[in-house]
Amino acid sequence: MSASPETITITGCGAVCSAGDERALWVALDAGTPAFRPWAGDGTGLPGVVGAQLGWDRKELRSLPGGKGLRPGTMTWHTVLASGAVGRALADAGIHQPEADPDEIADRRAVILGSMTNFPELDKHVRLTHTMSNEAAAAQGRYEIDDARVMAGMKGFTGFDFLKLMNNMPTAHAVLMANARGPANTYLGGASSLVAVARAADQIGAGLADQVVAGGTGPGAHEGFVLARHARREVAELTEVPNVFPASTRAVPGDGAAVFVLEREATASARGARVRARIVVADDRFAEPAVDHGCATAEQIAHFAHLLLERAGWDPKSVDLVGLSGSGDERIDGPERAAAALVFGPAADGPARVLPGSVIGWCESAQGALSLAAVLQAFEAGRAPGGVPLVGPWAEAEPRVGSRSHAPRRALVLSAAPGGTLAGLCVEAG
Amino acid sequence: MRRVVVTGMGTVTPHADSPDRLFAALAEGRSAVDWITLFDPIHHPTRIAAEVRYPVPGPDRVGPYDATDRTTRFAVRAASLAMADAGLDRAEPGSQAHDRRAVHLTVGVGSTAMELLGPATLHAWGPPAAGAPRELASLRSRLAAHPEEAEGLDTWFCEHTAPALGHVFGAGRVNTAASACASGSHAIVDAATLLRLGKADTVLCGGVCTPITRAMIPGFSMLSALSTRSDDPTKASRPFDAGRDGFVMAEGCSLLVLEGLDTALARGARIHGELLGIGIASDSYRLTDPEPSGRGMAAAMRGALRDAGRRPEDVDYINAHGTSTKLNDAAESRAIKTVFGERARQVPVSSCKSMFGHLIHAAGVTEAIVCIETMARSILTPTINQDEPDPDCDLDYVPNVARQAAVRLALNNSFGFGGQNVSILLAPWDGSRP
Repeated sequence: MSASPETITITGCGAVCSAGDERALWVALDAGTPAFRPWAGDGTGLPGVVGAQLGWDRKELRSLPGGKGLRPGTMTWHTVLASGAVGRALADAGIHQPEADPDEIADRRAVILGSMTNFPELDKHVRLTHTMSNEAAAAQGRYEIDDARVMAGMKGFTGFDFLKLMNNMPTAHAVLMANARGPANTYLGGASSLVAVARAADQIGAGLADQVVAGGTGPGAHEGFVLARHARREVAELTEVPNVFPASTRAVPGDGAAVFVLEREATASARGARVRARIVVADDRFAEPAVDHGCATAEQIAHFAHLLLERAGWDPKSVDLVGLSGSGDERIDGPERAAAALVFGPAADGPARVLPGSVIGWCESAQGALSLAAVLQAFEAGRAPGGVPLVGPWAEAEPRVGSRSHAPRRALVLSAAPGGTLAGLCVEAG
Repeated sequence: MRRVVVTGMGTVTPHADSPDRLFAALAEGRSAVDWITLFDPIHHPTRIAAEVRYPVPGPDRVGPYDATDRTTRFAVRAASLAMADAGLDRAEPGSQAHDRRAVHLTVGVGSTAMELLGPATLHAWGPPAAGAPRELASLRSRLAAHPEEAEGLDTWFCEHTAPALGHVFGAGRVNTAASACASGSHAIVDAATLLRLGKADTVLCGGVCTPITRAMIPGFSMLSALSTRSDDPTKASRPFDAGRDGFVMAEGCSLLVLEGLDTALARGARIHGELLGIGIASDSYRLTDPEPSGRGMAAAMRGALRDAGRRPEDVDYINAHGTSTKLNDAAESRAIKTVFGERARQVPVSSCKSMFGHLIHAAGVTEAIVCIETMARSILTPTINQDEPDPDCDLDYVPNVARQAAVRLALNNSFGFGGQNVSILLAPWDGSRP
């Protein structure tokens, strides 16, 4: 292995979110139309009444490249979202029958995805929890487990109910879809989708793969995540669907995934692939927060952004777009917004902000990748998105539309997650 | 290419929390498998596991992070031991050392968050015997109105352990990853990649897993993955033996400090060994079963050899993945024959899982530690419980008794659910400078 100054291209992009696919994400961002909706029927009882769920039939997976052999019953929602984005990315990259690719291509194809800890649907597992309780203690209002009742509660479970909880399952399914026989890995955490893209670039640079399917999945509207975030007062408890970017300091939970096909320029050229963008630099850092579940400070994010720009050899004035979370959670948005101001100066002269969260909510680990997907759409459209009407802190600080008159060619995409991980990349239009 | 060396080892395993005592136990052929004590398993199809049965000391908080859960407790302890072994203190944030350090941790499922929702289920649905309808909407409404009852769900997320290690170590880069049973070795691969690319100088890497829970034991039993030989715990894990019937679940954490050789020499670090080669490949076959010919496993082994510029005939010892499942052990034996050809039956192959069970995310790194100790002591640890030969597994598995042998190159295999295969090549440091 040797570190090679390879040019790494993005030849495919696929996304799934509450707005639809990657093109629908762009339309929503450009038109300023949030894709929030009342929780579906099976979401009753969740805090607030609004989320950015993805209403999607798992059976659609079968029509995607590599999707024929998938068994949606073996998947948690993390994996369903990831698989949808993987399939779309493969199709966009012109890889329509990965199972037919020769060994020399499959052997050099890798998969790296970002995700959160895999989480089951609540139904079976909480009923098991209830069944396991000691009756005498329960009659007194105390919860204690009666080990003798565990196996009775397990009736109705299969091994796949537990297999699908393994954290590598989104990647394991993606490996099958993509017929990838090279390296495969899953990163976990709120910024993990861009960490995955950064590691994918490393893999190519280190000669471990020629082509990497990389991105992330974030089932932020999954009831388990919503309830866990609600316990920490992090969920926006909206009582009606907003048509503006929420002024609340909490996130609207959203489902989403975005995946890309990265490959060395020589490989892309050899197969005549369309180059959507080039990754100039990609990396991640850890900025320990002051409190658990806290985020990096504006200064820490700005420092990281400067590092990326310096390594890319970019003057901040040359950046046309900056992708940020736009989560609605001020713990994240505040530092990101302030960091952008520190790096790029006054908002009126700076690059346009691309805020996917403003239309599709907070998609956890997929947020960074969804920002990148939106940026790629902006490159294709030749302009910055129109954007959602902004209120509150964002409206006070940011322009609605970028001031640049030329088509955007350079973007900095950042992802700052609770817990302290920062990930980002500098990407240039193809 | 930058050379990568091992300068620190820390471990919390069922046998012991030191590499010395761990290796001594393995060399004696001592099993750590016993009846489960973390809960009452009497009604479960599998009642045995390899638990950590000694107190694991550690703080309740590490910086801003809670460290009371079993997973984080093990990881913080192993990190402290690895750092002490490497002669490293915490690097201060803002220092160059901090910026050039990384933590790469693989973490498995281990929490019991569903159990922590128990009180909420009682409030929403009453006692189980009451027979009231159990509608999720009413549970959700209860949790929406009483969010404090959902606080336990946080413990399900395993992403908080690595940041805690980031605080302990003082790291400017912290990642959490998972590739099932290949995770621990994959952490070594990822760490080596960072070092080789010059993105870090010192990486604390490894894996932790605490899967011995009321849900995971029966869950894996339903996959027919676990041994049901509960009547004789120390005999249950029998990799490559014809009587094998599944793996034995284990818990623990192992961490290595990997550094660039240049950095290690500059600070006068003691060098335990050198990482010469890494190989990774995916089966792209099925979610659980390994590809039967061992194609992906062989690709990983060949990749490690190619990366190191070595040949199969240079390998003196293979530390097998050797889980004691019918499919893995047969496929791995085939893969070894594919790579080593005629010499396959002469290379000793042993599986530590015969004694400490399957540590899942911590397996590969723990076995790397065993490889390093093997090379240092010239002792091959045995594969115990070799009673009945299997014609599909006909290699030299160092049956039952340890053996003296000089080992200059050790190959460590780790193959995971989902067909993820990692092999690493380790050797004693030869004293040469970069």
